Amino acid sequence: MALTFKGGLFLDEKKNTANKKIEIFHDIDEYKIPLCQHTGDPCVPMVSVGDRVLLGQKIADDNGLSAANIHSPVSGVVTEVAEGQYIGVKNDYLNERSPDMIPFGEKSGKTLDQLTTDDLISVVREAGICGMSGAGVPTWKKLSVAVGNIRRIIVNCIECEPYLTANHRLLIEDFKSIAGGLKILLYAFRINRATVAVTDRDQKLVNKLKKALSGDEIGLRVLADKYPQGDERQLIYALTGREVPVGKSGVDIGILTLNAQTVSEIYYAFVLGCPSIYRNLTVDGDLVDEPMNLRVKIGTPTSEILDFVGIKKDTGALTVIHGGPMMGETIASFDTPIIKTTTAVLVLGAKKCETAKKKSIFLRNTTCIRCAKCVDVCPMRLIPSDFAVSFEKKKPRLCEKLGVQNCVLCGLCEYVCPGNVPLLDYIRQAKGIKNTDDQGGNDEENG
Amino acid sequence: MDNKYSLVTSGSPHEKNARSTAGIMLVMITSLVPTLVWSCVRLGLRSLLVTFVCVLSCVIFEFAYQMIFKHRTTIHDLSAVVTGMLIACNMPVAVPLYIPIIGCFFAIVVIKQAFGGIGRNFVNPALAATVLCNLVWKKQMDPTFVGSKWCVNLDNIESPSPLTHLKNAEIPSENVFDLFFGNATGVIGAISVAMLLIGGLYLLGNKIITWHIPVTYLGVSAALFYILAEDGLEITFAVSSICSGALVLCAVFMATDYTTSPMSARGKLIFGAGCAVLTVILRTYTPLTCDVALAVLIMNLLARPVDALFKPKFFGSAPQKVK
Repeated sequence: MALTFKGGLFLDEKKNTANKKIEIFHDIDEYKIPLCQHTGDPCVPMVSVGDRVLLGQKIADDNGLSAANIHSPVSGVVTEVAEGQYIGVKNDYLNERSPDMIPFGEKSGKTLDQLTTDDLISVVREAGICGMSGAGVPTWKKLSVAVGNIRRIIVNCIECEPYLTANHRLLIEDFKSIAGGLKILLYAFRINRATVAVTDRDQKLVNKLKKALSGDEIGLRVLADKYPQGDERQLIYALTGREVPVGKSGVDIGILTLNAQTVSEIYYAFVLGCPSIYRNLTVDGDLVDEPMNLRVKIGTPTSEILDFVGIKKDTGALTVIHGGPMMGETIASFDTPIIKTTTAVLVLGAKKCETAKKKSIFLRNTTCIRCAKCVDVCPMRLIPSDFAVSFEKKKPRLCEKLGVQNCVLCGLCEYVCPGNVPLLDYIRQAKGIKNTDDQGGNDEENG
Repeated sequence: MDNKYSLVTSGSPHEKNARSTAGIMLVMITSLVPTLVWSCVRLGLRSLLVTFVCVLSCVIFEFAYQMIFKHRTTIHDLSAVVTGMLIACNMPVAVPLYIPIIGCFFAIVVIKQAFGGIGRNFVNPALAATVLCNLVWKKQMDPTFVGSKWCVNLDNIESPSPLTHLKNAEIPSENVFDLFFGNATGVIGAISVAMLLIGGLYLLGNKIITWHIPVTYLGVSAALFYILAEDGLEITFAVSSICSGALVLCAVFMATDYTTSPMSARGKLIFGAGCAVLTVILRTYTPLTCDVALAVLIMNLLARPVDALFKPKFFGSAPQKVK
């Protein structure tokens, strides 16, 4: 029987690309690499305009802040350095690799059982790995806090948002990197409890993984495909029955949770010396001609990807989302580049125009009718209706006492609301997050 | 790419899959159809006329209020239609039509719209109308009153209603099966428990209501009636009491109204039990015919305090050892 948690909702999966192999996206002429692809402070550039950079060369440093190093995805010339914003690199198509990309074994001469947590943290830090599930916590910071505190590691292979299948493909095509990365972590931390968490959606895959892991100290656990199972708190609750205390994370109760792709990056950082310059993502949505999974270099503008997959409409208004349909952000410009935390690119038809509605005599009523459907689905056991009523009464500061800081912005309350109440807009306002263009509410998902 | 398309930004979530308020109301309207059909068969086609007049009055009053006060109208959410049908369910078949019209005015204009419209009423509007009509026009609201003979099955409203018997401390003359299936006298929506339960199951199946309030309400009432009955007659008395008057109607359709009942599961159970206790007290110790309506009305006033007292604890707020 599949494990699960209370609340949540089984969504329509729409995994149209579950059988599409990850294709490597072609190189392009110019990359615009943002300096802040993670949760925290922007990196400090180490190059200037006109410098020649190599593939995999570090171009921005974390400078001891809560940040993850940035590396050039191609060899070429630096065209632009905007402090705190991005670095522009023009591709020379020579693909000259940086000499820093050496496997750890060669560089240090150590074997797996001689690995220490200091080695682990320095390799991960150097490679600029950050949480690849959308949250983007710099992994070296997360591991530093975990040293001496954890007794169990969970690899989160749950992809509960609709459309997304990149992690699913990674499990099918490259499971050895996930298992390898996990082994590296186990040896470094000197613990032996590890779990790979998958959903029960694809039974053939589950059987294949069971066989691959049989006789291993790594356990496989199967969970119900309910949204938002992928959230760290719900995952830990479903697997262990323990609730992560308010305001704390899994590491505080001894459990380290990492996204499948992050673990795969750690493996390649050790085995190939390769820094974090690639991103597996799903391109899908109603208006995409050919949905597919792509392996894209960071800094690729979204327009290049959309030109490649094709869009169905000839002209008109579109909504393009970086991330899943429940928690992803819409982008304001087609030039917005792919970064380390972009899990998907979705193209949906734009929501209906607001001005037409304002002229009608029929009001699109946004009063909460207290139906309690939001209460049934909230995974954090909050009462979203109370937030709506506080805003209706013009007392938004009541939301603090009602626990709005615990909300993980999963979006289920607004998803099931019959009353058109803009619940997530209210919640973001109460939490002090800017709406629409700058959400940034993904801190709680495991990094 | 840029000149062909325009990008629209919006906040997450970008998907929605919810029945709208109008959709929910449509399910409720459908669930009341079996009751209405049975009432037409048993009491006469005038039931349909009364229902029609109530629904039309409610919709017109809501539209007029919103237009007069220069709001945009919300009649398309169909909540006024449902209020009209529920008020009709509490009316006798032969009631003079001015009574339900005034009841509808009170429900929509005074209880609902004057306080802010849907979601802001502090008591159930249909129940408020019922209590008003029963108190002011006690004679005309009796199910045996013949205010009009048009399309009314006069034979079936001759004998006193089961509720009248119970108020006179007698067991109803009809047997339990007649009361359950609907071969008794009563108001339009309250004669056939079977039809009401069919409607209730339809609502449960569509997840419009949850089991907490109806089951607690009916269960606790049955238990209390059982205790209060004379020896040897417990089961008959308990079941007849449940099937008489508008108890099942209120338990399934009115007490479960979203705005005036608690949101948490524990709150709902307490609400159901409270309604049951008040119903039994008012039915046994007062001559009021609107006992059920008044009981639920009183609990409506306590719905928000019950919610505030029985909030679920946030995820992760229970004290734990932090390793």
